[in-house]
Amino acid sequence: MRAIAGAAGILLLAAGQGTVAPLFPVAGATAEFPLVAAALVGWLRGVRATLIFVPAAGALTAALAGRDLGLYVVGYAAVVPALAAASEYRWPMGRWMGAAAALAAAGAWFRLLLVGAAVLDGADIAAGDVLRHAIAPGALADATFFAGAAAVVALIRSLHRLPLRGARSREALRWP
Amino acid sequence: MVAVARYRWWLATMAGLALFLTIAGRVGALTPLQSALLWLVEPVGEGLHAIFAPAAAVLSDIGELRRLQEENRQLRLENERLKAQVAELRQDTTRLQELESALGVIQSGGGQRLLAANVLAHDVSVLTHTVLIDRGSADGIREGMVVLSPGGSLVGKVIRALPQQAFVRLIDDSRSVVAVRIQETGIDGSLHASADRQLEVKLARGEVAAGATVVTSGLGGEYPPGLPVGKVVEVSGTPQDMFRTVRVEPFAQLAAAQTLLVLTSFTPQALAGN
Repeated sequence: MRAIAGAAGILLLAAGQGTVAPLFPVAGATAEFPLVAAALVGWLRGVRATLIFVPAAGALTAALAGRDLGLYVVGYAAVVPALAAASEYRWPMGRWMGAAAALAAAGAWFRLLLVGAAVLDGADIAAGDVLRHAIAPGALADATFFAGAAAVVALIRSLHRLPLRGARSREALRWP
Repeated sequence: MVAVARYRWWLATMAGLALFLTIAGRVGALTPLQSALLWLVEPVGEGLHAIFAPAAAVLSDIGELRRLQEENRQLRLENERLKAQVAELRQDTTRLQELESALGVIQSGGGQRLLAANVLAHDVSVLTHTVLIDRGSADGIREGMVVLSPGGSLVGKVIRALPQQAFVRLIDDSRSVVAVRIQETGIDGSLHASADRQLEVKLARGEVAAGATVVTSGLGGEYPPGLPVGKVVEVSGTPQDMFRTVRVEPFAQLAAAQTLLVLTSFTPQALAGN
């Protein structure tokens, strides 16, 4: 059951990358939903939980975008060692900060690969533009969606605790 | 770095998997699987787009509220003037749209054969902009065919045709190069997209002014001559410069394209050679 739910989630993410992500550009760049999701999974469930998710999401996203599957698998795979490296440090704002740093590093690696592939395919880009128009806006887009998703997760977690508090207060208010 | 070393076998496996997938993709072994996936995901993508498109439109409008209010006032006035004419035309237009969607094929006035296609997804990655359309080789689409907007201006060309779908590379993709001409002066140049997806024409010496119309020149045989591309909005450099950079605003709404027309009656030189 968990595998089916996971596969459906990956399918939704890959489909959303082509249909939803372009609707919400940040600084002219599109966020990489599967990478953001991998960072979220790494934050919530640990690095091991991303080992199957990352290549599956990469291959599926590339297939739906008509891109080289291998390029996306290698590009997305960077998030795993990045999450592992981030887990070794104590981050000032908790583990989610480490996941955000891992996402930034993996996003930069992935976009550098895309730039390399585009240049080999005939694109003309100045070295200075790589950071200004590819890496930085992409990192901002990823960070925006990661922060938004992390806020939603935090909200859900706090709501999840509410019934307990509510039950206590209701009991306190109950007539003897 | 102990934690990273723990995943070295996984990373090696990923490198092997990537190599395998790249080779399999290059030889076309993955095409049936990809077609099946696209067929499976098509309704999911349409559903997601229908859910999120209104929210995206609202967010976009909030950022431009003041300009939109003024534009709205102007449009109301214009709307009143045009209402009478629209009422007469609406009946004919509706009938025409019904016929076009029923046939799927549009015969344009210039004798060109155009095939209407819906955009299923956009890939707006770094330096790239491609779209997936719901027509493929089974509908007669071939790689290299020219793609236009519903208004007839240049959008891009087909780069890959699957049986039921095709991928189109748009002109604001950094890998696209289009031979163009300034219509008013006849100067030739080449249209490229910059890293931030702005269209630029690199011209040989000559005068060009903002407001000039850019059309395809037909040089190289990849695009037919005379297709409208866009309007010059900015010219940088002096006439003495070897190459002047000319910024162009495309006529077609590239980021929001939902319906496209594939020009099936024009055979690009690369295809004709085959």
